[in-house]
Amino acid sequence: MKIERELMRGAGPVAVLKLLEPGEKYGYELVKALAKRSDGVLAMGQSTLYPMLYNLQAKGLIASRLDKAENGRPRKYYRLTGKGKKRLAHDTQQWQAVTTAMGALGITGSLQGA
Amino acid sequence: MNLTFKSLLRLLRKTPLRDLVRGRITGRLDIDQLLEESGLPGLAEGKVRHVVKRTRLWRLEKVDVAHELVAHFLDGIEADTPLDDLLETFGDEQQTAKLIRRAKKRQRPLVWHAFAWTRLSVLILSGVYVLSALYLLTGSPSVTTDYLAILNRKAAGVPADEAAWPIYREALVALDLEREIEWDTPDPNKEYYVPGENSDPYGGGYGMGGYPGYGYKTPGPPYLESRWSRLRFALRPEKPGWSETSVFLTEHAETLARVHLAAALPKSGYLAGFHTAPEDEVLFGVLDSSEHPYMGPHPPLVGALLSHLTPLRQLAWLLAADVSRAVQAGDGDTALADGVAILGLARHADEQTTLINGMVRVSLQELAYRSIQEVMATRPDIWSDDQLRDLAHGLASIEMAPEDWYNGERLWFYDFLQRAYTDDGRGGGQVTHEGAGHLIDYSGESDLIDPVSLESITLLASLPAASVLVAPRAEMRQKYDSFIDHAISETHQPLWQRDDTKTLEAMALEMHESTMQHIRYLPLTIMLPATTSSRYAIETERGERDGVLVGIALELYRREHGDWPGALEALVPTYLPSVPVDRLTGEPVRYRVSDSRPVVYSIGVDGDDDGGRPPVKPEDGTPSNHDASPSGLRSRSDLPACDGDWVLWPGPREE
Repeated sequence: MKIERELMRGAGPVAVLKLLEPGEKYGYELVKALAKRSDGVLAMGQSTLYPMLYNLQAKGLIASRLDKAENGRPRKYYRLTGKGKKRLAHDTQQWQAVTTAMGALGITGSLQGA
Repeated sequence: MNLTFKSLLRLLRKTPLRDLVRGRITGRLDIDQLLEESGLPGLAEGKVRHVVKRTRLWRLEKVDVAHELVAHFLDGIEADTPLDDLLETFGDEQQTAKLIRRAKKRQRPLVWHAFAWTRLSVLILSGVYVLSALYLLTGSPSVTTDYLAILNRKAAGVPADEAAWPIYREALVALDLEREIEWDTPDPNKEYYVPGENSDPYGGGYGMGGYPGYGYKTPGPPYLESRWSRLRFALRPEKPGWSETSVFLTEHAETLARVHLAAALPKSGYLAGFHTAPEDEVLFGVLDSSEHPYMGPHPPLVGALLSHLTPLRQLAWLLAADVSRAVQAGDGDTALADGVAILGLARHADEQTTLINGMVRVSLQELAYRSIQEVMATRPDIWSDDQLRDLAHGLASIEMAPEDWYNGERLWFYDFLQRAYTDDGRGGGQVTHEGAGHLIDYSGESDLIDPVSLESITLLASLPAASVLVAPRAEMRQKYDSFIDHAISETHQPLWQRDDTKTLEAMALEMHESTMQHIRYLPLTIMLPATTSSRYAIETERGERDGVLVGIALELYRREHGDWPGALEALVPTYLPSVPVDRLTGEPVRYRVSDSRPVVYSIGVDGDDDGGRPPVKPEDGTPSNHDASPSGLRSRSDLPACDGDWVLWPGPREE
C-alpha cells in the first residue's frame, strides 16, 4: 500500500530519522530499510529520498560524510545530529499522540484491542 | 599532442577554482566522465544524466548529486535488485530534478540566501514599480479651467471708446521708439565696447538695464541703434543728449497729448494671450508662446504674454521726461497732465492683477511722485493752488489692492496644478507624466521634453517615486494657498509689527532647507512669488505718496502764510487730513526746516534719527546699503548697515 504524498511528507522524515538513530546509513540502505520495516508502506524512490535527505541536512538534523565503500566506490553516509535526535524525540511523541488519538477514534489498531 | 592538449583544456575547464588555486587539476566537475566511468547500465546512466542536468544547480552540487545517484543505482545492482525495479522506483525525472534542486538550494550558504531574497525583493519591487508607472501613465491631467480668461476678466469686454491700449499702440507707432537709426556720433551716455579689447561685446546682452552699451559690437560710426536705446539714457536734463530728447518730445507733443487722453480712460483693454494679437504685431512682431522651448503647443498660463508692460513703462518714462521739459518751459498744464497720465498708465498696467503687474504699477506711481517732486522743488509756481489741491485729491484717492495681486498669483499655480495632476473631481489627484515634465520645464533645467527621448523615459521611470514623494494635488494647493494667505496677512500688518522670522520668504526658506519638504513641494518652491520684497516695495511707494501729499500741503500752507509751518500738525485739517505715520515705526513722520527748506522724513531702516539726512551713495559705484526706505530692509548683510533717513519730501530725484 502506498500512502498519500501529504501523509508521506509528514511521516517520511521521522521515519528516516528513526532509521538513522542506531547509526549511519547510505541512501540505498535507507530505501531498503524503509521498504522492509514499513512493509512497503513507507517505500520511497530516489526522487523522494534524496530531496528529503538534503532538506534534513539543510535543517541540521542530519549530517553526511563521504567515504569509500567496501568495494572502493565513494559513498555518502548519513547520520543523526544532536539537533536531529531532539527532533526525533519530539516527533516521536507527536506521532504517538496522533496514533493514540487515531486509535481512540477507531482509525488505528488501538481500537481493535479495545 | 593535440589530443593531450585538448584533454588538458577539458580538465582545466572541469576543475573547480578552489582546486586550481591549490595547484590541483582535478577535473572533478566532469559529470560526463564520472558517468562514463561509473559502469552504470545505459538506461540508469541516462536517467542520472537527465536528472542532474535538469537540476540546473551549481556544478559542484551537480557532481555531488550525480555521485549520490550513481552510488544508489550501483548499490541496488550489487544487492541484486533488478534494474527495471530500480528504474521504476526512481520516480519521475522532472519531479526528481525539481525536488533535488529545491532541497540542494536550501543547503546553500546564508550569504547566498540573503542575496537570493534581496534579488527576489528587488524583482518584486521593480515589478510593482513598473506596474505603478504604467498605472500612473494612464492618468492624464484635464485642463478644465480657462485661467487666461480669469486673468483677462478686467480687461475683457471693454467698449472701444473706453479702452486705452489702442490709443497707446497708435502713440507707440507714432513715436517709433524701436526703429533702428544710423547715428553719426556715439551716444555720450554710453561706453562702446570694442570686441577683443576692453570687454566681451555680448557681456550683458542687449538692452540690459543699467549697463549702457553692453551688447554693442560696432563701435561705429555709423552707430546703429534704436531711438529708444539713445533716449532711455538721456531722459533727464542733466544728462548728455537731453537737448535731442527735448526736441523729440516737442516734436511728439500731440502724440503725448493723445497718451494723456488714453491714460484718463477707465480701462486699458489689453488682453494677455499666448500669441501677439494681429493688431499688436506692428509693435511686438509675431510672438507665439507655443513656439517657446519651455511652453509647448498648449502653453500654460505662465506663457501668457504681458507684452504691453514694457511699452507702458516706456511711455511713462517719456512722460516723466516731458515733465522736466515742461518745467524748463514753464508749462505747468503740460507738466501736470504728464504726471497725471503716468498715474493713469500705472493703473492700466495693473489690469491683469498679478504681482508682476502690481510691481510695474508701484514703480510707475513712484515715477509720477518723483516728477511731481521735481516740479515742486524747482518751479512750484507753475501749478496753481487749485491744481495742487486737485492733484492732492487725486493722489489721495489712489487705491491699490495687493491682495488682488497675490490672488492673481494663485492663477499661475492653479493652472500648473490642472496641467500637472489628474483630477478626481474632489480637488485631489496624482502627479502625471506630463506634470513631471512641466516641473522640469518650469525650473528651466532643460528644453521641452521630447516624448520619445531618454529624458521622457527617465521621467516615466521616476513617476512612481514622484507620486510618493511629491505632494498630491489637494495638499499641494492647500500648501500654496496657505502661503499666499500668509503673504496677504503680512500686507495687513504694519512694518513695525513685522516678524522677520515669520515672513513668507522665511517660511519658504525653511521649507527649502528640508530636503524632504523641498521635494514634496517642489513646484511650490519654483513658483512661489517673491512676496516679501514686493511687500517692502509697496510700503515704500505708500510712504513716498504720503511724502508728496505732505509736500503739496506744505506748499499750499506757505503760499497762504508766507512761511513753512513750525510743525506738521499745523497742516491738519485744512491742508492735510492727518499727519501720516512713519511706515517703519508707526510714529508720525518727522519734519524740520533746514536752510529755509522743509524736510519730511522717516527715520529709515537704521531706526535712528539722522535729522533728515539721506544715506550717502558712494559716487564710485562701490556696493553699499544706501536705501533707507522699507525696500532697504532687504539690505546686504555683508555690507555696513545703511546710515541715514528715508527722506519723503523732497525726495531724491533718481534716474
